[in-house]
Amino acid sequence: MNQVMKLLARMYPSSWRERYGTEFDALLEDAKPSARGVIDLLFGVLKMQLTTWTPVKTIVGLSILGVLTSAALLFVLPAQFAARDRVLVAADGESAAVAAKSLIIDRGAFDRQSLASIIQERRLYPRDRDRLSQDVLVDKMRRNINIFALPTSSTSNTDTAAFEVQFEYSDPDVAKQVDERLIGLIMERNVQAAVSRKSHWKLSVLDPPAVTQWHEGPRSVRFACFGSLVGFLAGLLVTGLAKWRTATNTHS
Amino acid sequence: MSDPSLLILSSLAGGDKHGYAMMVDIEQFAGIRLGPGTLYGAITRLEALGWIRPVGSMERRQPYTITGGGRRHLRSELAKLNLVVRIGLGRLENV
Repeated sequence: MNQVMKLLARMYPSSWRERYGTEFDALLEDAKPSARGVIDLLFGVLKMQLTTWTPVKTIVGLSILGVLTSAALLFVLPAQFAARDRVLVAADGESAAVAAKSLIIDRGAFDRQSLASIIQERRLYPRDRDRLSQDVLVDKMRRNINIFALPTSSTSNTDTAAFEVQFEYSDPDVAKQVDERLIGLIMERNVQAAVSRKSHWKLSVLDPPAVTQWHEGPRSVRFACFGSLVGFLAGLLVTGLAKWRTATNTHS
Repeated sequence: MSDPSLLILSSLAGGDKHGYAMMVDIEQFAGIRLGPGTLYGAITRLEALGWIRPVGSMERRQPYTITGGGRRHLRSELAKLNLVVRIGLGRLENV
């Protein structure tokens, strides 16, 4: 503990240490080291550093701190996995993109009842099931479902569209099973929809489902961007408050 | 009263002291243990305001003394606190 306190004392700004360093080290030798003392010292260092930093240094420093904090959180938070299934829609004489949209949105492939039954079947979100209502759980599940349009080529008579259905969950096997179930829901809606229309939309799953870890890929970039944005805003706030405090002290 | 500046000025009003002696004195008269970061943050601020100043010492432990400006500030702040205390206690007794 004493070593930690001595190390923290070295982190004060050099100009401050030139003036107070010797007597401060003497105080640390006299005072009984404690966890509370370490925390107090840490805040003291931060406060003193911030008072000597220029606005630009404060904003840049806090932005970097934001990125580092978000990177640390990424590893501390439980891992999340994303299962992906790619589906090709072929529609004779019709727009495949319209067909895909019709199946997923207009025909309500992912309606509340279907999603609620998947939550029950697969026992999803065990920690939240006791404290959250079914509606809230369904909303949570919807936030874990992502649908992306994929680029495809079309022939003269048959229009094709492809999309990817992605489901994020903490267990990779469950994520895969649920993603396959979601594709199953789209297939069921296609069969039901075929009864009420003359043309036939052919749906095929392009590849076996792929599962990747949540923070491998663009999400970690988004996470880092979010951290730097929060740090940047905190930097602006701190410099604004420092200026306001200086102005108030000057007036008084 | 938990403002470190007022606690330090009150401690120095009783005589010159170095950092650790202030820490012990404040704990005795106010029951508050100031951490080293808080104590020296306040000492830095008070010295910059001219309310305390270091007194000559050959030791590593640097004693400080309260200045005239520091005494005036402390008197004014304590008078305000005293007023609040008297009004508060008076109202409590009238209830």
